[in-house]
Amino acid sequence: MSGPLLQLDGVRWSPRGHEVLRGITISVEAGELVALIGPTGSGKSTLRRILGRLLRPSAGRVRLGGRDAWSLAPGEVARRVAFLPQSPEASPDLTVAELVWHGRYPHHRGLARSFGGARPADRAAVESALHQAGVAELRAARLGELSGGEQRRAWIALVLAQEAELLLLDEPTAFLDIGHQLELLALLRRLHEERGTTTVMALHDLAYAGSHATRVVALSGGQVAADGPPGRVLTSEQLSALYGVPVTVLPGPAGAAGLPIVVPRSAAPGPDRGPGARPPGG
Amino acid sequence: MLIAGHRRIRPAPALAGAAAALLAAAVIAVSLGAVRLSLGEVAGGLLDAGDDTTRRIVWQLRVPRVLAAALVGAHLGLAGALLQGVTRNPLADPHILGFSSGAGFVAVALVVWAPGSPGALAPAGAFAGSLLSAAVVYALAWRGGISPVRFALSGVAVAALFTALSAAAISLSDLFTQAALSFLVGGLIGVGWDHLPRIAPYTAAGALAAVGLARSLNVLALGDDVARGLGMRVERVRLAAVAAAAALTGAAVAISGILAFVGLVAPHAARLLVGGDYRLVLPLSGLLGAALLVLADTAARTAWAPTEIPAGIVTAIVGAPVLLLLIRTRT
Repeated sequence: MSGPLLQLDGVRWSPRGHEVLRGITISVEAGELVALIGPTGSGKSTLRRILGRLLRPSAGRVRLGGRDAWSLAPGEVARRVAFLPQSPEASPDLTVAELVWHGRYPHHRGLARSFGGARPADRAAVESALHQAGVAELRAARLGELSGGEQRRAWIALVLAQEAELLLLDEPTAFLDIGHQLELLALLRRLHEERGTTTVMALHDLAYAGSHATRVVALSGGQVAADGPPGRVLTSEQLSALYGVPVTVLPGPAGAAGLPIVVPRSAAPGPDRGPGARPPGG
Repeated sequence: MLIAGHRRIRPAPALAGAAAALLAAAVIAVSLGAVRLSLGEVAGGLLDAGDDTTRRIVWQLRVPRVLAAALVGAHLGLAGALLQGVTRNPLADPHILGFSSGAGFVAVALVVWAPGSPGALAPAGAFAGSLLSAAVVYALAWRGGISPVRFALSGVAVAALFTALSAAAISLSDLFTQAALSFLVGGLIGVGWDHLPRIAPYTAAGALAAVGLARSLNVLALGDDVARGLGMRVERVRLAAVAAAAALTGAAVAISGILAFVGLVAPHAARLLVGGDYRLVLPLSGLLGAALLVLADTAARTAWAPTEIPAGIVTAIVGAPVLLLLIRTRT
């Protein structure tokens, strides 16, 4: 398809006159891996709720492949955008394969939804999703037996089984330890490089945005404050202005391509305000 | 319980086992009573082969009663499973959420204020009452969407309200109120063949809704946001499930009055057996609810013979400890 997969045009959200989003215009092309960053209160949460179609904007348009997102039936939207909320929960009794199978829900209708068996297309999609997310060997395992990182990969497999054009992930690394965070981001990066998967993810961690995204969109005060390749957005000046604290961005130990390090410039950095020490969410 | 949380029984044996349990409960129920019948006599009576008295006891008294108990139990089990699925609350059931109390209030009102009304009006009226209480619960819980917790808490409040209204209607009336009282602690005393066709349409509608909703309830178990992301019209699914549960509950209350705990216990037993897949939990809850109430009603008929007690007392005596056990182990 020609044209952007996702296009936001002057999107506003102003409940009871309180302006949370003041006109967001972004477009995402096929094959991009976009990180959405911004301080608490920047409108990041609201924007991802709008993108997930949980919230209807007060003004402006959201287009998916050129069609207005709100003129499409929910099932049609779900075949174009796969949305994964922050830390979703499922019964610990569910197996990985059962969870991933739910990704086929938007592709079924009517009574076939309840009692139709798996069609070849469903089997292929689930199989491929299990492999892409690296949970094929865990298919028979119950979620309660898995580590946090494995569970998160199973959820990624669910949205992959949805076979949508665009993945929309809300804080995919939330509540994971550093090993599982890196493993998950490497998975997303691999999907981007090998399969051309288009992903928009809200991220709290600036270092990860710098190391894994191909493009960073920074929100501030309900507007797009900066938008471009990580090297251009994640600069000392921009981040200091964005978060209201003086910070310095240093190249990481692996050089320009590795994890950049964001260091507070305040006189005495407290032990609890180091980079990456902030809790996820917001 | 014997079955650990992780071990599940395969679908076919589970459903076949529950159907066999229901059949066994039904045979026991037909054979027990003031006149105890042997298995041979039960078979003879059913096949129209035995003597006249046996045939009459089997066909005119016990079989319709057993069928009614099975239908009402199935209604409550299915309604409970639908409501637990839709509220994601393991403690939800038609009684706790106020659906039964709304149905019971209308049924009581009909007996107290319109004693001459035709019998067919009772299920329709109770369905209306059940829908009314469901609507009140829904409206109280609504804030741009339904949160399962608000839904459950509103249900508790509405249940208390309608139970109080029913009690008020009974105490203010100067009629003979045995019939009205029997709605508050339900049972199947005096239920016969003519009651069955009245609730059958509701059974069919409820079963059809369950078939249509099973997969959506599975997806809804992953949370509202995930379900929306998968393209589900969450509020529509919730409304359909609540309406189906109200229809099932209303019809059940119209012939049996309020029976606590059947709708709570049956889905739990089903989940313990087969796990969380609603495509299995819904039919299994119906079968187990039916078997449960057939046994409870048999106990109510025979335990204190010749006096019959309402089956609602038996379900409460058995159900209350089960509820406490669930609260201790699940929360």
